[in-house]
Amino acid sequence: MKFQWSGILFVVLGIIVIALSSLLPFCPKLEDMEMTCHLSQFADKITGIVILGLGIASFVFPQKIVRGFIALEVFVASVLVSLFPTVILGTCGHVHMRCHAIAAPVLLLTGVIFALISLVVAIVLLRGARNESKHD
Amino acid sequence: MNLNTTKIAFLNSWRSPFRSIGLLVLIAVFSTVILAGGLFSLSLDQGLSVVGSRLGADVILIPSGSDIEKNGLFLQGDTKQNFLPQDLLKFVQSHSGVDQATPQHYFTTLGTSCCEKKVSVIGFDPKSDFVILPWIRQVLTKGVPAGSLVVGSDLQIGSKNSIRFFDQEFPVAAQLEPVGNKLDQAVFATTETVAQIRAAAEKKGYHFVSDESEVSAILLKLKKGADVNQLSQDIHFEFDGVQIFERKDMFGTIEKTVHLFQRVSWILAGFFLVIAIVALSVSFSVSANARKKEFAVIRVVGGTRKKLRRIVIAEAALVSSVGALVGTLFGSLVFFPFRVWIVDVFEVPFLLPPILTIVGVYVVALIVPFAVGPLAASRVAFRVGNLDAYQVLREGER
Amino acid sequence: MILNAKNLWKRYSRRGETFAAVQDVNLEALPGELTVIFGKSGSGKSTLLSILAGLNAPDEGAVSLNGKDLYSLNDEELSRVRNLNIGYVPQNDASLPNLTVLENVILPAALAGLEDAEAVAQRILNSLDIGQLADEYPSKLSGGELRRVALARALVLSPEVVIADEPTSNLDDENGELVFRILAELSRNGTAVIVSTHDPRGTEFGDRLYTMKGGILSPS
Repeated sequence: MKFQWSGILFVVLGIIVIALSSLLPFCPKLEDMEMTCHLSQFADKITGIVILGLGIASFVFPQKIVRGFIALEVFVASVLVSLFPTVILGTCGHVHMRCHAIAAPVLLLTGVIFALISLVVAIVLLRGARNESKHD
Repeated sequence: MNLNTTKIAFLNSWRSPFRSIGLLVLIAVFSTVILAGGLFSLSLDQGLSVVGSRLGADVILIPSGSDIEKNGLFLQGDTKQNFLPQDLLKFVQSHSGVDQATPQHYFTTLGTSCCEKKVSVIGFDPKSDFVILPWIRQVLTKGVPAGSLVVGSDLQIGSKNSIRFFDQEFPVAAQLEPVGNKLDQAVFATTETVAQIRAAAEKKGYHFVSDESEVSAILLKLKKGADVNQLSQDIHFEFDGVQIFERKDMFGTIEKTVHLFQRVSWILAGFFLVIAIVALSVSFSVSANARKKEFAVIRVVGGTRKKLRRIVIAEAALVSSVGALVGTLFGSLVFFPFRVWIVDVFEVPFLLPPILTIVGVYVVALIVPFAVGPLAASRVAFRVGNLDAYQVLREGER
Repeated sequence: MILNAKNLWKRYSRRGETFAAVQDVNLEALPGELTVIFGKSGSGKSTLLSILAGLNAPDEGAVSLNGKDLYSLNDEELSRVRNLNIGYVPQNDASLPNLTVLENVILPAALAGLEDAEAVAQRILNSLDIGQLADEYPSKLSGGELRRVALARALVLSPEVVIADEPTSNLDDENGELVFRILAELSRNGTAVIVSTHDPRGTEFGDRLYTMKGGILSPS
């Protein structure tokens, strides 16, 4: 197992998503009420774990082409991080609720930034893989 | 294969990613600042303008110990539960300098669950009111039906078109246009409806410190030529525990805050413009110096001086165009999702400007950063065009 | 008559003193001839070739190509002549590092607005035994390979005049021989070729031989 730079990066991104999902102000789960913002928090936390797992997978598969595809998967996961609290699941309806005003925008921005980062990583790795295969 | 100026510029940028990304990020930051700063500033202007138009009163009287909030208007439910002296309303109504006087009652309902935010209720007297009714009449021409509420633009009305207070449904007669401050989260009710809300609260076991006769604020419209200082003296002579604020005090505070924020955003934009131009100029200059031989080769095989300059400018334009696009995307992601939080934290009047204005800001946020690249590279391009190809090629021999 | 140089002078200053790198040189390059100029480093060969290639204006004298005085042309016209009529191989192995070998070779065609030069470029690279490097970047090439890329680039538009400054430096015997054969074949096909070299094979392949010493050109 080799500690590839892309793997380390994705582990860090995953940790950040998990931390944000845990620390940002979401409403707690209630017995008698379906809390969409709680679901969004949960979904983003799971996605953060997935990103972290993909980062660890990069250590196991050092080949650039595999890591490139892992980066693409991180890209998709990052997009989901931004979409869960905003489009797919949402948060509380009142716009001034902290889950709506703070948590959702932070995760939206984080997801977009991480998506851009992982896309750049994917391009670098897949280009590198293509150049290597030309020399083989 | 078409290897024109654009393609050469693209290949040079694509295959030197670190340099290109650094410059791109710089332009993107500048574009973000222009977009977010521009929208922020214009939203403040819009909010200020609407707030100004809502200020119907010349003077507001509030109890001592209460604070007029930074946004200066219509208090958010004073938690200290201070009230004005009992006879003050009658006193000012009969004062020679006062044309109209109207009382307001403020209180805050408690949220019964995390999803029911605390709501500020502003009770007004429909017989004497001259501040809220003109505003309400924009959406409700026939007046407020008995037992109904008028709500701010940010409040969520259920499917029953009502709001629940203390387990009692109160119908919503209308939802107001946005103001850009906490009034968008407020509920307006006549004194009669306020009494119903209080009764519902009492049934649930909540007891108010005050009774219906106690007033949170009195808003005055003065007669032409009235002396505010005289009015103030007369009030203080008769009553203790009253604060008096003129319209210019209230509005002036808001205006000062808004202008401060605007100044900061323009300074930031100017700062990043200078940084971007200087950094890009230095970067292009260093890069051009390092790439002299490349340019010399292009001259050797028949590239004109104009061609060389075009390649340099094209590279700069490519980087700055992508940077501007990335920056506007990022600026949009920062501004639009976070603007509610901005309003809540900074407590400034904040309303999105008209759509055409927003489009205009986007155009500026795209064009100005885009222009910075070629502008910064123009001197370098001129220098590159003038290089002595043979001398440059010979430099490597020594 | 294609390339004619008359009474060329080029002076430089070094440590306050002026010296003539090219002194009163007269030279004619005819189609179908391989002209070889021998001389030590610092003799003025490179300076002379740069003047003939339209890259370095002389202080005195004139260079004409098909009767047109090169240095009386404006930048656009002279650039066009360098692009279409003259193929120059500089002594240094300069290339564009962000273009592949093939893209470097077709650069003159691109500047001339001509598309579809890849096939010709590939053929030239093959003849120089570097065809397999077409998709590589210059940073991956040896000095000798870069020399041949520069030569290929000079030949891609089939110019009337090819001027090569030390084309076989950095090349092993086999590839040096290959380059001279190609230049000789070019001249046999009607191109006027001017080469400066230390390589003794120049005497074997050259039609006209000169020696340059202290800026003065004389027949060998």
